[in-house]
Amino acid sequence: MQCLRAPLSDLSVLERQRTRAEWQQQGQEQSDYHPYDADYCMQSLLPVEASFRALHSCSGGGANENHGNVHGSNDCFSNAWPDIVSSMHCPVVGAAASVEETSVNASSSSSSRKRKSENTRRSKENSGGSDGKDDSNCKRIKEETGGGGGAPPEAKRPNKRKEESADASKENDKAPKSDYIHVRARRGQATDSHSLAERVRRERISQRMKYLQDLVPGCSKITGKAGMLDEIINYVQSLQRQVEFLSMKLAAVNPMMDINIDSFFGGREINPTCKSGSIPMIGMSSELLDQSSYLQFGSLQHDMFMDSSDLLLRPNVNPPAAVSDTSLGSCLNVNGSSVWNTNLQNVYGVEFQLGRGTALPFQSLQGNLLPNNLKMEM
Amino acid sequence: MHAIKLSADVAMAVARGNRRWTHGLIADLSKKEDNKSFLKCILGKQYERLNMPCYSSWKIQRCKTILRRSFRERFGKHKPARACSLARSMVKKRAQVLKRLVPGGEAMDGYSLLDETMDYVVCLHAQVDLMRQLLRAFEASKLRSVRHPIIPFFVLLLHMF
Repeated sequence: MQCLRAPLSDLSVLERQRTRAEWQQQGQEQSDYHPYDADYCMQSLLPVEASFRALHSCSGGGANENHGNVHGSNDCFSNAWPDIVSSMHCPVVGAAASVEETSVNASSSSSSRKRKSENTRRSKENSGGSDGKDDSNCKRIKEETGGGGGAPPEAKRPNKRKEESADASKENDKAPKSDYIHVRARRGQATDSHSLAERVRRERISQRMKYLQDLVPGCSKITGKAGMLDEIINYVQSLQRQVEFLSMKLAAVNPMMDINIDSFFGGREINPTCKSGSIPMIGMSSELLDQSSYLQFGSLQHDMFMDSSDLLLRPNVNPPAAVSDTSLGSCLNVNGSSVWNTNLQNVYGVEFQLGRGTALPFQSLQGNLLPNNLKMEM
Repeated sequence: MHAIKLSADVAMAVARGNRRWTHGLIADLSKKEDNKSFLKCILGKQYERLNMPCYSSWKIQRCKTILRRSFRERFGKHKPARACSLARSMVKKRAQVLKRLVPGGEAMDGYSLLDETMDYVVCLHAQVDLMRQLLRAFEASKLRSVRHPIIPFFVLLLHMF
């Protein structure tokens, strides 16, 4: 028997559990989850296009709601991510508030707690035993701005089938508002702390595998981790090979001149804050400039580019946004930089400008265009 | 000539921001001497920060005694290969391969490896698309008359909008 070492949940969690119990008694399909957390952890799981669209459409609704009324956003969330919706047990209220306030907030990984409901309805704090394991399971709170840092936040908990009522929460008066993953033992399964941790870990991994399945083409039929990993490996290898092949082709298309990098960058002061500042120094060769009078086009875009050069500094909030916008920006960059480089005789990677595209002038367009861009690009 | 590939990789890594694989990629790229100056120029202040040993190849520290014990167990008792252990070893092998593929993957555990793989796949995909479009644009501009090289870019832009 394991004793209660410390009080676990706070009142809000208590309420949430109660409401959850009520809903489930009423036959509600979705369990309780916090819309803020849902919204915000949606942002971290971006690669899936459909869900991304849903995120955009639902983020407005989700952001406006508070604790109680989650029905509105339930539907749209459930459309896109039924898994997450059904498993949304975001326990942290304070974390959500902090997410709201600060944009980049990489919280230190705290130990996750497990709470199990037993017959006696005692809960158990499990910080000690599962600390080592739970570094990967920890829910980390942060909003992904340009990819915050560390692992993406894991705000979802695996869905536990409710066996006991929410009375188990009565014992827990207060818990510090931190990121804990609350897990409830399933009926008929071991309530050992280790096995719970294992189960949480396994379910998170299987979640990830599902997303990867959507990402990698032709994986819908494959079940099992080994086969999936095989496909993933093949896909990554093929993508890498394609990148190499395309870079060679690009090199063939553009006559590249040998440059001595040191002399090239020698006396220049590169403004570290403005990443794009280095772009002007890297430009098209004069040859190319002659061939294709980019200047014309470039001057058109130049103003736009300059105006938005301050935007280039901002970290990317949405990875897919950044990623898809590179396509948009690449053309502009190709031309915009040429304006500055009329005198430069050296060429460096045309490809280099690809990357600049992320911090794009077109961040304003991201919201609406992103799905379209994604669709087009991918 | 690997200049294009190098710049593409750097661009992708810088564009994506702060992820483990981006740090790993930059660290891998900066191992070569020729690339160091280039990277320094691009990254500026960040270069020093990113080149710290924690970002370069860092393998998960595993306790030696635990390793020794598990090793002994595996080869001490010759159990018949059960399905579960077989499956586990298969998965383990593939995870090893994946760790080598994804930059900076050695230092990741299973879960974050999958996460970083997802991210990496998305970025790679975008990179490939971009390069294809660039290639197309360049070839188109070469084919057409020199007077109007901007047309493909306009077309692309309009298409994007």
